[in-house]
Amino acid sequence: MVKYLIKSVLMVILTMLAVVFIIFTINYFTPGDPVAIFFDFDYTEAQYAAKAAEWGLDQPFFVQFFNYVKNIVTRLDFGYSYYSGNSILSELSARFPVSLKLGLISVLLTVVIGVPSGIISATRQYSLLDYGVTFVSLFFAAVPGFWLSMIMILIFSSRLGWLPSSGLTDWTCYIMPVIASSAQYVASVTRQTRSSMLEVIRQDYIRTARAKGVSERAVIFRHALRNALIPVVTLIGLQAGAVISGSAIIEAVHSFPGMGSLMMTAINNKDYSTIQAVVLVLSAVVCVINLAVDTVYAVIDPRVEIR
Amino acid sequence: MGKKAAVRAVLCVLLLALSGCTQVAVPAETERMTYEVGTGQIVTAVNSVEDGIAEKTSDSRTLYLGAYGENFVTSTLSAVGYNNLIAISGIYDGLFQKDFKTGELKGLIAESYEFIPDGDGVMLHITIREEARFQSGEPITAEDCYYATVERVNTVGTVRTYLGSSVDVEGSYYEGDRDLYIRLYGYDNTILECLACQWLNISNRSFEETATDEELWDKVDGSGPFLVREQISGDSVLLEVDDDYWGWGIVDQRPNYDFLSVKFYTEASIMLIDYENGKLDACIGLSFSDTRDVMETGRVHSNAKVVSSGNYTVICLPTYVEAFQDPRVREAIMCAIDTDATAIAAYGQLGITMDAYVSSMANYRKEYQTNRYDVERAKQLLEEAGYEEGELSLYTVVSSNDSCSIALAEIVQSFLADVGIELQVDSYDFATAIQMQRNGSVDLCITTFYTMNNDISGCLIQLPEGSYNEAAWVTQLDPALSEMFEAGRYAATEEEARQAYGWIQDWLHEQMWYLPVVEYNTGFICRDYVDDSEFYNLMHARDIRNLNLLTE
Amino acid sequence: MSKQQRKRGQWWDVWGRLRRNKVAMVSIALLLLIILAAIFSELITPYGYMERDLTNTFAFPSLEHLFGTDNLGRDIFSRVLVGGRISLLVAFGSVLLSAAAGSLLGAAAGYYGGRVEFGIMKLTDIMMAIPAFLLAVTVSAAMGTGLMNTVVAVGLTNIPRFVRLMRAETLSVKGNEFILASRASGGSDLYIILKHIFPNALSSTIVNVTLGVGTAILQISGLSFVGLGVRPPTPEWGSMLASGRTYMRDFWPMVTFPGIAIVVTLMLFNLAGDGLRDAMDPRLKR
Repeated sequence: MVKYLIKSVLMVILTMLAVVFIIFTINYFTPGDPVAIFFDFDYTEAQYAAKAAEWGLDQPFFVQFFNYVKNIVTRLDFGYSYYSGNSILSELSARFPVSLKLGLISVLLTVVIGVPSGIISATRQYSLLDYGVTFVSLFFAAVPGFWLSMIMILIFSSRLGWLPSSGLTDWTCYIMPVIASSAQYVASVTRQTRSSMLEVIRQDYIRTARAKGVSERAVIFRHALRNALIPVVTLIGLQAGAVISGSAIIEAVHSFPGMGSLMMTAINNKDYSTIQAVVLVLSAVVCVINLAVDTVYAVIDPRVEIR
Repeated sequence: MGKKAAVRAVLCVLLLALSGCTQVAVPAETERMTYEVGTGQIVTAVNSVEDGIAEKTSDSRTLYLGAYGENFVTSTLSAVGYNNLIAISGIYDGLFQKDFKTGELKGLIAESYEFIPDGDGVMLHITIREEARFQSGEPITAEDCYYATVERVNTVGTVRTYLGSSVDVEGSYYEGDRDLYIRLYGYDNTILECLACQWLNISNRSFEETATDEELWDKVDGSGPFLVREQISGDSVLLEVDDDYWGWGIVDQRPNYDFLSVKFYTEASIMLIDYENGKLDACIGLSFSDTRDVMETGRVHSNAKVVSSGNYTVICLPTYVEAFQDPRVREAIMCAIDTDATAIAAYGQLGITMDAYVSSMANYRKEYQTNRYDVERAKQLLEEAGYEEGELSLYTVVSSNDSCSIALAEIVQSFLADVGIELQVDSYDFATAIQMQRNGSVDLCITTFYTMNNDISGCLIQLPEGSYNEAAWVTQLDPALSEMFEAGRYAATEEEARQAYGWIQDWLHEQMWYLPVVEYNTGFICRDYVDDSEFYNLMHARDIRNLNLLTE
Repeated sequence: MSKQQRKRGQWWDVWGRLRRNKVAMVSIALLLLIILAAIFSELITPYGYMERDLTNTFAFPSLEHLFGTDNLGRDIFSRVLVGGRISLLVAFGSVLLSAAAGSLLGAAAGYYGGRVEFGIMKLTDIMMAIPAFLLAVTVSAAMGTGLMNTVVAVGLTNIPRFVRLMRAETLSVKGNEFILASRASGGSDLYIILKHIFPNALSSTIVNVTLGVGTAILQISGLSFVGLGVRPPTPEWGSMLASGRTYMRDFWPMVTFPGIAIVVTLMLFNLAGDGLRDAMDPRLKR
């Protein structure tokens, strides 16, 4: 187990390095001159040269890349915003915890709500409850999160005045962004759990267990669940990224002071260095979540370890 | 299958819930009020006239203000974004300030000034107030003022654009703690206005040179009456009234509140929702449909109005486009677009139709019939010029995060389509769009001109060859034009300036390279316990200080 | 039984199973209807999608304008239909791009094994480590907006799922006798992949394309909503939502109808995809 973990962590580090390289390369070759943008296209030669040197943009590609990685690893320094000229780290450090909380709650919600409702739905197949859950999850699996945000703001903030529409003053501010960024994924986890439960229940060994007179409860929890959850865990791992990146737009809709709204602002200002930093941090979070999922996977399914 | 029925049921419920959303708390008693805004435009708004004023439910010592936009840093050096200026303008003072009601320029940090002839130029001698202090308690010296004004001509692009040809940096200097000498190549009658604008706010030199990013974020040493208490990136800034501000009773009156909280919104409609839910006392920058709504129906215990911002949008026909060399084609484009209808459709209540080539606040402004809408004439002119329907195809870009300018481009596109001109519209992020417009990658430049004060040369600053907007260059067409720009700005008398600027405006009207479309205001709403009587002009962001709370 | 006959029989079975699944049949029929309506949108819309009427802006739904009119007085119903054509076009384009590229890479990985496989699969893993939407944002921020660029940006992010799928399918048939026979008779690698491996993976690819189009529609609308993706004057569901956002507080039709169009289309794609999967999944044959 320890060996497996070490290997996984190493893999994550290598993957992140490759991710940094890809994102850095894309942004490096993107047309648009950050120094000119910073000066609003109005600068003197000397000013330009000084700024380019300060940001290290006068160095060759590989030197720039090496410095970039070095600064991140040694000082968590993501460089300067091409738009405001500020250190990105200071922007990020305020916004990261907010986004992380939002992302983790949303991912947690997909598990806590999605898995049980899928199980209930599957064990009561063809009941009214099953139809209800199936329909609701079908509907929400098709709703774009940012649209759900807008509709919820219209109903719960504008019409009913129950929930704050924007900002972050107390915990109620999390309600709508969390729902908006998780609804779609709760729904697809529900659907996946339901179908994989149904598949497992049809298997021979479950029939055997039932025939042997094992109680229905035990059949479901001891035998079916463990096997049914394997594809669900995979799905949750795959979706963590989607949940977290989806919440970026939702943050912008809610004027939520997280990394997502920072990125949206950066997109509007062509602030590549900030976009790059946000993408990297979010990718790292997703990598860590995937690592956790893989570990859970190894616990649920002992075969993995042998791999 | 019951599923389809269920789909229908859900959709119906959703629609019902949504249609309910159009009802808002509309006041029972209202009054239709007509008033004049800073631009001279007459506006009618419905205001509530309930008995007494509403009780302030939120913290009574804090004025909660919502603003559309985003917050950034609080260094005077990186004043980026309009809303940043709102906070900046409270934190810093300038040498002068302009009273837009009287047009008078008053000293703020400057106690007095005099113009002294100096060879072939002019020396502006400014005396700094003895009592002027930074928030840290350090005195504001002439060195700080030199650093924040003269030196910025070299370092800040915007300042260079406005003052680069006027201020002789080498010849300027400071003497002792209170005497600042700014040398001008010639008498520039806009210099005091420039010194009153936010880009030349006075900051503490030794602080700005050593401060870290964190210190510039929420521990700045400003020169104005508000201290930065807390700043949350992407969310809000909390300012506290500085009781130790030197200027209370000298240049300003202390407001009746202790804290000013400015919350920034990336979506204007959400700001109004927060206002309706009682989270804000006042909002600046309502969307145009929200402005229309609050001005037509009113809100309980609220006053809605528009305040002038001095921004106006024009369509420039770049001289580098071959088709526009033919005056008939230019006139055809002028005739194809109904600018009055465009202004109303794209900006609603916020838009003012234009009848001049400069903003309505500018001095020496002349009025013309700029809307020449006449589809038949446009078609005929194009035919005469030899362009068949669909033969002329143009390209323009707009910024994708400005819904009004996208709407504007779409309207222009459809008007041009009516006369058989194809306009391809692309939208890019703000920075790229601006860059493409300015560096001559567009055939038709839909651009916004800003006016920071009543200075007409500020309105026309993009037109000379070599300015930052290549699409707007026209001086190369007529050498007399450059001379007139100089003559206007450095005129010794009002009359000379009036003549020069009159000539320029006549030229613009005759030559038709330049189609003014709309001047637009900022939508504003506040509760009736907010004193907004002195607040009617946002062109000068320092005006935010004129908001106050009414005392019982 | 010849291979040809066996093939025909297999698809016949699929059709038979699909036909019995009423939900899937209805969804596929509705989906085809939507696609046809989108393709011929300009013929059936009551108004031109660019036809402005500045005297009748922000009209609520009525018989004249089913979904009302937008900020420029354009008919929202017509714009939703034409917008559907753009959304579907970009979605199909990007999924076909990723299916083609992903399948080729996946087949190569599975077929050649060794270093080729290692390289391709590692690259796939890395791409999957970047959240799809963020990768699309980065790519389209770099390449700029527009139909083609959006197709590429979204297409690129969906390549990994097809690589994985095709690799698994290739591995499952690699040792089959007909492949060994074809190889022995001198068939080129490309020939074998196209002739023998692809047809075997066809059914699961169809299912994945169907489900992928749904995901792509979501991603595209998200990109357009943030100002990347499709440019605003072109009606696209996401960009229509983005422009309606400003007016959402007092004019709901602009944010509601394009959203409903996305939801309905996506639900149908999901149902159709599920139905196809059930019909094609051999495990359920028992």
